[in-house]
Amino acid sequence: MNVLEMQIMFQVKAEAINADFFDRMRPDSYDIVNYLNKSIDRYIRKKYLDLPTHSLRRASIMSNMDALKDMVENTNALVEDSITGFPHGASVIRVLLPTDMLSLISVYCTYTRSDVPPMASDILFTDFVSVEETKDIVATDANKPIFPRPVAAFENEFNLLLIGDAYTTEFSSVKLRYLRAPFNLSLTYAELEASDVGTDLLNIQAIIADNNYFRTFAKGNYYNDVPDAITFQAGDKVKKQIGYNTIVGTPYTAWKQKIGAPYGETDTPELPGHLHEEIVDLAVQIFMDEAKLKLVQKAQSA
Amino acid sequence: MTAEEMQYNFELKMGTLYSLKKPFISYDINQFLNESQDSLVEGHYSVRDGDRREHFEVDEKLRTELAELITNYNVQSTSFDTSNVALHANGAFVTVPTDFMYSLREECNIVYTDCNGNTASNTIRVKPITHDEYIMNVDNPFKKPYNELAWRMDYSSPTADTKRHELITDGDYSIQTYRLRYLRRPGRINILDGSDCELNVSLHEEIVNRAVRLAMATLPKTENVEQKTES
Repeated sequence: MNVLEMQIMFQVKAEAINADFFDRMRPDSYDIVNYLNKSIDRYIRKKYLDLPTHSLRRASIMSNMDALKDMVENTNALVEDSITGFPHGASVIRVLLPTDMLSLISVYCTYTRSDVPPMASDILFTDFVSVEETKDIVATDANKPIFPRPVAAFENEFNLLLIGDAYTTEFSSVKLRYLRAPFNLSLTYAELEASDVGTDLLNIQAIIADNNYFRTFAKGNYYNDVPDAITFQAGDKVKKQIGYNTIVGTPYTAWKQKIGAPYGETDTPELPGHLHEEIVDLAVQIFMDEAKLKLVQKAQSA
Repeated sequence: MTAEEMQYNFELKMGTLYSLKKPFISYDINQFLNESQDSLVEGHYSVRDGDRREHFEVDEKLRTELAELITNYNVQSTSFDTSNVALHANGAFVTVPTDFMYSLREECNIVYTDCNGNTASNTIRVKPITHDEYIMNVDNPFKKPYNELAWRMDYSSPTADTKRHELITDGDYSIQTYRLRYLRRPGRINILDGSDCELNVSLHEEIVNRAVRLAMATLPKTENVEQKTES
């Protein structure tokens, strides 16, 4: 169901409850889309994330991956170079958390350790713990602790720490896999698709203005960092460069180039189709609750 | 196995390697490993089996396992202490090395004047005796030292962690060199400075196993049970 179909269903359901919603108190499109977005947010938080601990939320996401996969992002983490004043010494790095993250699913990185067992640039998943739980792997003059896996711990709202034992020598290429906030439903969202697989996508300026971001749906090339072209993957966020209006898709014969703009918006909820009616019902419910409140206030003031 | 690998194995067997709750720090593990190593060396050196005592040289396996610890020590007479008031008649103190554990073989090079009045030299046996034996036999012409035998008794040293051997002759010959082959105390295993176990590799696993048993015994019973359940 796309945003238009959801809007129609919303109106039908609202009118069925109270005929006033057909004319006198009829919500406009902007309001309805707003209620639908609220509904999607609330639905995801309540159904999948309303759990007391990170490990439970993570387990919930993983067991509902089929429904949530459209909102899963894989990204390279931004790493702060060095940290001082931390008990773990050099065996710790700080990475920045994405601002659109709802819940972290996993972290993996390129990991090197000198001994027991030695590892040279192996890619490993981290364990998740609290910073306090890592106290036993702090190296001191009397302790050279062994914990042969990297550990991730939330430092605060913005940062994640990757912590290693006494033999850890390097973390690099930290990747975050997380559940991001759902894209907003929008009536102005547009998509553009190439005519065939393995062909370029032309005239992207038709749907995206310069210096704004669009979302890719295929692997291709674009001038993300002029003058050097970059290869993007499906799902990436790419900035429209002034004067560059073509997505190069010729080398990627398995893909049909497609972009959506603006980035962060969509015309179809990212949850599976069978949940869309529930989302509309919840949106109507929110709308009705707020309408009731308005009616009560009106009655009191009359 | 390096010291670090011993710690790895220790934690693996304790079930704490992949746990962030570690009941022991490296310093503690050092203690367990060294205690284990010492008890293993003691046990391998000699075992009392009823009235019988089995010595480490009884078979090839034991000889090989402790071979790394067999060391030679030669002392010239110039280093002997012959003026100490604690000495018995015809005695001389020899300070043995700090890592001395058990003597395996002792002999002396001596010079003496033979029955023709010529100076002769000889390599003679050294017999360890107790103080009781000394008193009993010092005047016994058939048992007291002569130019084929010297006695050796144990005595303390003013320096901590060392001891002295008191060599006793018959007074007619003089000792030139005291040659001692002994089992030395193994060096300390130290995870923190990377000092590895010196014993034969075949013993390393057993050292760790013993250390784990020692460590398990120090844990409170509930924690001990938890460890076993987790593993």
